[in-house]
Parts: sequence; C-alpha cells; structure tokens
Amino acid sequence: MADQDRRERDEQSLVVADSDVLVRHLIADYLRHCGYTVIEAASFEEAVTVVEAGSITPAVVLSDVELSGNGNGFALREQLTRTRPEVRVILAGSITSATHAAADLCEEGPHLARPYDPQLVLERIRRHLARRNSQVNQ
Amino acid sequence: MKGSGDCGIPLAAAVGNGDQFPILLVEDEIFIRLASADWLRDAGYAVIEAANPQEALDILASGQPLAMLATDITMPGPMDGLDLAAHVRGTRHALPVLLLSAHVPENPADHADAALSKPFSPSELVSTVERLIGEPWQTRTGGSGTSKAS
Repeated sequence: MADQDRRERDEQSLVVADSDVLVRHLIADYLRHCGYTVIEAASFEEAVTVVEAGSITPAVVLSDVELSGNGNGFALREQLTRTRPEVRVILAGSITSATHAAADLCEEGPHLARPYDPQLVLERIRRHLARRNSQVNQ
Repeated sequence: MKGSGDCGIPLAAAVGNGDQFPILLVEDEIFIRLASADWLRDAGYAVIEAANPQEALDILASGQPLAMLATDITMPGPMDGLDLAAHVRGTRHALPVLLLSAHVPENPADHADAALSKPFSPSELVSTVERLIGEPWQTRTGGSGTSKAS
C-alpha cells in the first residue's frame, strides 16, 4: 500500500474501547456513519492488541475509563503513550462524555456533516441499558 | 415479518442502522471478529460485534431485533457458542443461527441452521449468510423488503 493511502486509511481509523457492548456498539456505529473505519475493542487487552499489532495506526483511541481486563482506561493511555505515542487517546468517564467525544470526532471526521444528532445516540444507549437492566433484574 | 414478537423495542429510524436488522456476530478472537464483521459490512449487512456470549446475552436482553446470530463455539467463560445457540433457539425461535468454528459438531443441524468451518473465506461467509437471511436489502426494516427479524 502506498504511503499516502496508508496515511489516509490510518487517519480515518478509530478504536472504540468499551467493555459494555451496548455502549460500544452504538458509539462505534455512529462513528462509522461519520465516515470512520472503527475497530471495536471489548477489553484493555483487545485495545492493546489491535493498536500494538501495528497493521494500522488509528488516529484516535476513544476509551471508557472503566475497562475489563488487566487495566483501565488510564492504564491503556499510559501504555499506548509509551508504545504508540502517535496515537491520541481520549478517555470518557460516562456515556454522556463518550457521546460528546464521538460527536467532536465526527466534526473532525471524513464526512462534512453529522449523520444524525448525537443526542439520539445517547438516548438510544440509555434505552437499551434500561431495557437490559430490567431484563436482568427480572 | 417472520418471528417478530415483543422482543423488539422501536428503534429511532434515523439512528445508525435503524433501517436494517443487524447480524449479531459473537467471536472472542478480535482479529477474526474484525475481519468477519468487515466482510459482512462490505457486503452490505449491519453487524453488532460481541466479544463473548455474555455480551451477546446483553444485546438480546436489550431487546434489539436481529436478523441472525453468527457465533464461534469455543470461547472462554461459563457459556460457549452451543449454549448460546440453545438459549437463542429457546427464546427467539425464528432467529437463524450460524456456527463458526474450527471444531464444528458432528450434527450441526442439532444446534443451528448452518455451520462454517474455520478458516473460511469472505465469500463463504457472505454466501452462507445470504442463504440464511437473504441479501442485505432483505434485512431492512419497513415495508419494501422481505425482512425477517427476531
């Protein structure tokens, strides 16, 4: 792959790291509609594995602070700062901040316009979480 | 619509793949999951990626309508892909199930609608999915397709 092609592909690639599948999927899906290629990581280890594999250099890792596995979001940022300093790591401590971060990334992204209101993403995450929690508690 | 029951909550039509019933793909090996999801998305399907059976159960409990389940068999944790397939067959009877494994059971029809042995090619995966649920446009919600969801 030519260097320029690789650079363009990397600039349009993101990793979304979140151990709650409902949050991860909806944030990732939104960012895909913004034009990004999104890699979903479900744990600290998965995020480290995909970023350190080196086949891509994602522009950004958007990670929840709480991650399952042997490290949290802070540990992930610390490790990637050491091993892949060119990768920007954004930490989100809540679904609201994750959605806002995704909306900001969308503004910077390959497409010129947001595909839909990020508030809808937040509402949909909340609805799905509420539905799951009510099922689990039954 | 085949199999649609009360499990589906209305999705905001304008949000994400709200116009398409997704495939729930369950695979614990991240690079296999990434590749398989990419192949299916490139073919035009919507995909939800789950890294293990517990995540798949979370998606099912959220009420998300689905076009099908495609699951690995051997995964860490208390539940494997066959347990997940059995759970889905007990709770979402009409949802097609595809097993993806290096060790497909002798009688896959006892557990699922189809099985693919790893390693599989993009065309093998896509053609098997197409045989089970039709082409991507047929997974669309709303009136025009022969959409199926459960």
